[in-house]
Amino acid sequence: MSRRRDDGTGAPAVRASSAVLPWLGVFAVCLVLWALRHLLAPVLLAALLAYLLNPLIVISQGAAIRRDLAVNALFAVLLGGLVTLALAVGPSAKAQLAELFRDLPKLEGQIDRMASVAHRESMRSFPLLARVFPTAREGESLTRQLLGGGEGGGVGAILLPLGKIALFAVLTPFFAFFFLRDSRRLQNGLMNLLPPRHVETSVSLWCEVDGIVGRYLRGVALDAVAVAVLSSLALWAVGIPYPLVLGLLTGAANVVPFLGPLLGFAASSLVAVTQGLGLEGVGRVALVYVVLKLVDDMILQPLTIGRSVHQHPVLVIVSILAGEQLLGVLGMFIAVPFVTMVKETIRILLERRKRGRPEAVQELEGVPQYLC
Amino acid sequence: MKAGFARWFSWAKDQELSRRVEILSQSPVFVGLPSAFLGRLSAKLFEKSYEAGDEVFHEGEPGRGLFVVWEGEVHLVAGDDAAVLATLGPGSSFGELALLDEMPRSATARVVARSRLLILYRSDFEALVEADRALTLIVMRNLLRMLSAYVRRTNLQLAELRAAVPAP
Repeated sequence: MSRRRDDGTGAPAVRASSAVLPWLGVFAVCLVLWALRHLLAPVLLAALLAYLLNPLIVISQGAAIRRDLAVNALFAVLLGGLVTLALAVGPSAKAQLAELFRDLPKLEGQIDRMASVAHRESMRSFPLLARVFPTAREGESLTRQLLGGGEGGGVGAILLPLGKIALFAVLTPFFAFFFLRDSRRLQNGLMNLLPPRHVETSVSLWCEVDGIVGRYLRGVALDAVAVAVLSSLALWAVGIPYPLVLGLLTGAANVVPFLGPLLGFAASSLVAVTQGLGLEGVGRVALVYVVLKLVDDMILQPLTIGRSVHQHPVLVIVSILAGEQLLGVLGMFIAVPFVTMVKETIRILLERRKRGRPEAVQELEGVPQYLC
Repeated sequence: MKAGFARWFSWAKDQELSRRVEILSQSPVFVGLPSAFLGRLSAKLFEKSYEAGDEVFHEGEPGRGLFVVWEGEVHLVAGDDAAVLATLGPGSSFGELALLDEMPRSATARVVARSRLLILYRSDFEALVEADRALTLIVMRNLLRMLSAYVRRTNLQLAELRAAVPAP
């Protein structure tokens, strides 16, 4: 049996199976990742956080300080910073959050009434929309139904996401700590898996992509912080309630291009309307967000992100929607960085292919015949 | 107080990183660079183990990075007869020209004994050097000195060859 395989007829089968096996492996890994996609979220966030913090560790290594010590020190400083921040703005944020939670049932009722009117009118004018949006079930909050929280309700509906957030808040820094501490070991392990002939090309590609995407991600993070601070101040200045909470939400949402600023505006407008500020309040919010968008586009983004990475708006929107479908809210956040990484990798590979293999003789035409 | 700080610093010091800095400082490309810069550069180095017989790169392929021998032995060979141009041991570096351009490698690097190599890619090196003009000057001066020495040696060899071959 084995003899027949060896004498020619079996060789293509063996070759085919050895070519298929790696792809089967990749498929199996994808299946496992898909099955564990809900656990992936904190791991991906932690990897992103570790990636953003790594340049600080590299600076400490300039003094030849042990990596584990540098990572411990960085996390201690970050923790200290968070505690200080919590002490400084904590009481105000806590008061705003407590007030928000106290007013939630009232806010929900007001939003529900407005949404019901808009929903009824829309369904009457455009019956096709009924296929997209559900019809309000009797005795159930339309807001919760639209937001997907129709089954639960009351305190449980609020505490469940809070529990998830708390789990994220604990797991993400935990994983990030180990990613950051062991990244060199991980990198060396991956390097040793690469066949020698692919080392130079693969790692030079990684270095180039890392340079571009790293600058972009750090820029986005800085931009989000700046937008959070500016929007909090601006909302407070125009007298919108809960400016700190809304500012933080605006900063975080700003990471998602196009849709993020709209989300911040929508949340602030809702708060303005439900707190009795009426159309004038919405006008103030609109003014804040228009000015903020201009400042972000014309001053902040050129300073933080720059023009190194530019994505077509259609590609951005499609990637955000695809990210939301695959990984929910986290998918919306990581869609653009992921697409940026893939796009830059393809661009660099295509550029190299176009450039082709350098010809030494052509390049050396201008060299003098003799140097002394 | 001073002794205590020194004791703490020797405990907190990354021994492997310090050895990397020491080796880099001996390379002609990095002579004269401050150790803080070499420390940051060391953190950017990739590390890979090679078996005897592995080719690190092949003659004619575009060069993209500098290699430093951390452990083991590497031969630089060229031509159809694979003549050995140089034998490199721990602390030696090769592929320096790739830090300047992406021209084809002029030789093949072959591992002759199980080795560990450190790899520095041009984009990482450029990013660090471009941040400081003074460092750029030092590195460029080092590279020019190396090239100048290489040109002088080639001129001597050329003169010897001309002397050996009778004029037509």
